[in-house]
Amino acid sequence: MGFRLIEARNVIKKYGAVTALDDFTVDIPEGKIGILGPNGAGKSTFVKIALGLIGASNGEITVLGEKLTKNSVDIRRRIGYMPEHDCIPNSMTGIEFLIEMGQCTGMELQVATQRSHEILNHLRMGDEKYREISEYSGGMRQKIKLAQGLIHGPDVIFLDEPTSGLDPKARNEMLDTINGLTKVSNTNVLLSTHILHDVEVVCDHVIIVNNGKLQMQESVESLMERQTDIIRIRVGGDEGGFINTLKEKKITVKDDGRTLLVDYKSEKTFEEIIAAAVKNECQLYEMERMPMTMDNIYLEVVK
Amino acid sequence: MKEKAEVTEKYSDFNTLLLSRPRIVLGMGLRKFLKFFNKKNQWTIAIGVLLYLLVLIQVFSIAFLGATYPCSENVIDDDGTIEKQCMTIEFYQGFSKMLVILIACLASSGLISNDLKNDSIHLYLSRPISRTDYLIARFIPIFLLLMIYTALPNLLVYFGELYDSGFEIDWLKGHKWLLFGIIIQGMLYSFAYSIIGLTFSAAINRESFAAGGLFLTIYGLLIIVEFARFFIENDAVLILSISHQLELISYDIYNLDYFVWNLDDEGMVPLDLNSLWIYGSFFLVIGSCLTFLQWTIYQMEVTK
Repeated sequence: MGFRLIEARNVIKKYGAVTALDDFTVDIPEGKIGILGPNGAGKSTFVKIALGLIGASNGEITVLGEKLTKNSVDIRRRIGYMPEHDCIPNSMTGIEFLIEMGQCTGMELQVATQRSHEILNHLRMGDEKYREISEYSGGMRQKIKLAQGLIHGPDVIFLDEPTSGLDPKARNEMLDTINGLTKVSNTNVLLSTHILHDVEVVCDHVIIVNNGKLQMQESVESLMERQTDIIRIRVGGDEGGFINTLKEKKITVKDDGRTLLVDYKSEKTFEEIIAAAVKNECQLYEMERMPMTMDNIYLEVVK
Repeated sequence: MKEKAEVTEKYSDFNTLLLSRPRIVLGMGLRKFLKFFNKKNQWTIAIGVLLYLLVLIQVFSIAFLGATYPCSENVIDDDGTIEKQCMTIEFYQGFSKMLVILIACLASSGLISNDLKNDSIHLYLSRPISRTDYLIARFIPIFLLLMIYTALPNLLVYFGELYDSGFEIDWLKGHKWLLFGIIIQGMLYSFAYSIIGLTFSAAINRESFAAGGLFLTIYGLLIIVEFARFFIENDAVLILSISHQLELISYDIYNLDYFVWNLDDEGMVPLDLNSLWIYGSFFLVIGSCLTFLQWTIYQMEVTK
């Protein structure tokens, strides 16, 4: 693990009575990082605080080695940002918009022009770049929004729900574009999303946030490796006795409120479940082995 | 293939020196200023041309027909009553004044409202500029444009008069504060209309509504206070209008007594007004606008 992209220490952000971030502490390494969480978890708030757009009520944040309390504006020279919502002026052409964004970041006209053409070529927007943005499809608008975040060659780009509102084909194309552009330019990525698939495709590290608190932080690879399949069970009768019998046999059982989830170790686990049901005179209504996916991990953590 | 590889290398090795914040802000302002002169702003350009036609007539009348500038003292009665008229201030009144206000409304209304309407303000605020920098970048273009329509016409009239005097040193000595006064007055009008224009642009995120609301507020209030003064016979009511506040401060710039053109054809009548009220109300209006502007922009990311 190299240097830290972001270090947050006891960050609190309140909007009136609502606490968006609650004593949030995290060390985010370089690379492609996904921030996962349900809507309202505090992801966008964290991204905006890290970008210096809003201040934290309390706590301290360091981005790319610089404390935001000392330098919340100039740090943006090293950061790119792709907001969640549609925010592109329709009256400009794609190339005009990109050049304007480049100049607003401090690039000279000539450099901004050259760079804009290079990025748009990478995005395969040949003739489209001379068309007004109002004529662009949803996917193209997202692409140009991504391009404006990368125009100045930032060290890191913050992507806030980059695939929201896109159809599956456009979403995959967008994820390919993010992977392609950031890989070529060695740009670090901080991807805030509630779509697990996006994180699986783009990121090598994941952070799960819920209710303004850090719930989990791990590399996607090790997370997938250490997770085993699960067996979903629905039983009737003495459920408490059934669970205790399994626990005596050192089998982990979790209750998700509706069904019981048992870690799958081998085919012998099925036999032990049946034996426990017989012993406690329980009825087994359902028993199904399920592969562990990011969805299961996410739902478990968020619950 | 080789060409593609070169492009990728150029893209991946990209590293450029970025300009300082003041230069970014100035650049944003100047680019927006130049956009006022493209074909999308045809109404602003058309009104500006009309305004300059009026200025040229004025310059012509001064330079070639022997009119005086900036102030002339005319005997208006048999008993020797003298009326003092000042053309510098005159230019800001009547039809020309309406044109200046119209330009201010049309040009300023879209500056912030369009960014708010299409949400592009979030992209600007994510650049290495502060929110105050953003406001300055939006202030620069409208201020420069209004200087072109306020100070510059008066400077043309000034030079027309200088030409008429035969470029005499005595004329320059006799009007040594005039040039300064013209620039200060132009800056005063441009500053005030820019700030009020930006406030309307930030408050109403539809360009046409912002322009209409601004025009009605400035010009509507101007007419209302004129009639109100006529009916209630109290001069103080005039300071409720920003347009009158600017005129009254202009009189101070040219060291003239406060006066007003009466509606009932009495000509110029002196005003019984306290300077403190005038300046106090002016700073209250501008201060409120600046506070509102800052508040609006600082609220941006909080609610999104």
